[in-house]
Amino acid sequence: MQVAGLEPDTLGLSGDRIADVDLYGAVKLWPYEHYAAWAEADPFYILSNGHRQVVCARYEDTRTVLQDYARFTSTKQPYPGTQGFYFFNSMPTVTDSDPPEHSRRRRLMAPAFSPRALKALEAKIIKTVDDVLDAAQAKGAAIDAVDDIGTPIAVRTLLGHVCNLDEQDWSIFTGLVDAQRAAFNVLSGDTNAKQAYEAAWETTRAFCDRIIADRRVHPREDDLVTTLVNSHDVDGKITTEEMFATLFILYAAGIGGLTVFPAWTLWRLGRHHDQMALLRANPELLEGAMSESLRTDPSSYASIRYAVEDCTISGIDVQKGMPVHTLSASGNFDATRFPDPLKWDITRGTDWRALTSFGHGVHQCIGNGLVRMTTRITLAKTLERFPNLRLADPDFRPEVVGVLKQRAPKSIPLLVD
Amino acid sequence: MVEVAFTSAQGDVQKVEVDAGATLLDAARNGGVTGIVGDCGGFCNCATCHVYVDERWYARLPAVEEHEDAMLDGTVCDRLPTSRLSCQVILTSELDGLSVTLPEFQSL
Repeated sequence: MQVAGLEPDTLGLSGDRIADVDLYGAVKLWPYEHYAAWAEADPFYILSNGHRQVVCARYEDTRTVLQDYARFTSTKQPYPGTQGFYFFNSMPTVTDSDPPEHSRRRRLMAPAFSPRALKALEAKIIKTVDDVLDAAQAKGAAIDAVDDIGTPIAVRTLLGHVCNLDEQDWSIFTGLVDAQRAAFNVLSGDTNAKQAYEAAWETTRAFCDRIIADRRVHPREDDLVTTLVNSHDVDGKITTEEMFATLFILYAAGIGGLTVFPAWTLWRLGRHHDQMALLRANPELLEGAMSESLRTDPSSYASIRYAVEDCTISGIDVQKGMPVHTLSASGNFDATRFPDPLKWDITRGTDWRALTSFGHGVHQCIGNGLVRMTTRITLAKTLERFPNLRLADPDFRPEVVGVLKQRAPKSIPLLVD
Repeated sequence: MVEVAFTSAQGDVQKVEVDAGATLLDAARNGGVTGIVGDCGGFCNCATCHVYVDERWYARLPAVEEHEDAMLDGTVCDRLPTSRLSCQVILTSELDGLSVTLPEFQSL
């Protein structure tokens, strides 16, 4: 199948496979029809700063690229027109590396997100959700799924419970996330918000300096920062930059997913009254509602890799160093796997593991278990607390924000009276 | 072919045959064995494909590598000396007849 919007190719390579689309602009705002069309399409090129970049959107193509780190590296390459993806300042992060470095860095974070750790967190998260919903209810009839539910639960869960940070320091990381979103929302990276981002980065870096120094003097049990410090100081397993990078990733990258999942699901339930009624009548369909929300509106809808060598993907030529965008959410609209993919249906019985919504391969989101548990608790308690919950505007379409790879609703106004 | 016996936490035994080269997690999935989750798809990232290898077989398995060792510390049910993550056990003809027991839980 040929991609809609393709123009004749004048540059050689693989013929007429350049699509004139803005993956991180118009597509990001309302991607669903694109997903459905591209789920059946061969890989194609887009242009950024005049340079070709490959896009894979089919289920099998995205999984192939994400899984094959030997051919498609996560390490950022100096290719023109991808600077918008450099939101961790080229630090040696777990996300921007391949095994064995990736495995070594990931091991440092793994204990905080293990099944055992999640089990220990469950009661705290239940209490947090209750507290946040108390505050939301106290606001009156009008609340916001993002500002009053998703974000406060995410921040308290991640920064408070998982990271053991004092509440007075949370704004450092929420400030960094906001600055990242403003500065890294176009592929070229050309925005006016870089200065504010650099300032937020320096503030965060200074805080990490302080907390590392503190843990050296006052080590804590079951504390991630203490683990990192020991890995650096005692075992020599990580560099100083890796220690900072891991803290930045942990603190800043997780807030989005925790906020977005319940918010998008509440928006979907508000739009689809029949599905809301079905779920209220059959609470056991909550997992189905979550899987359907993950299918259509994952927090991370795209990823980027770089070709390690000249190669082809499903017939399209890829040059060494060329960026390959994997539009992973598009595969979730493959009609052979998810019939009538534009229909939002909580009874599909989709196993979330069949989706690529948390990534695929070694880079699968390390926090996915935390996000699923927190969202499950949040949705169940929100629906129970607010039996008349609905969208303030039944036809509301949220403004979509987030760093390049992310689709996050800025606001979802609800009525609960 | 390699035959593996999975014993559930309740004592039910299910035998599965797979081609050599498959992982123990593959065998469980192909055989529809419940009690093994494998959230991450087999990339040693989630600790939800935990098994207890029968003692008489444990020493015949390749050694636990560093990444698996770290992940095993996070299993919901206690790690025992014979614990392995099934995604990291590649089945060879020498392992024909392997017997493993599943923990009561893999995740919440």
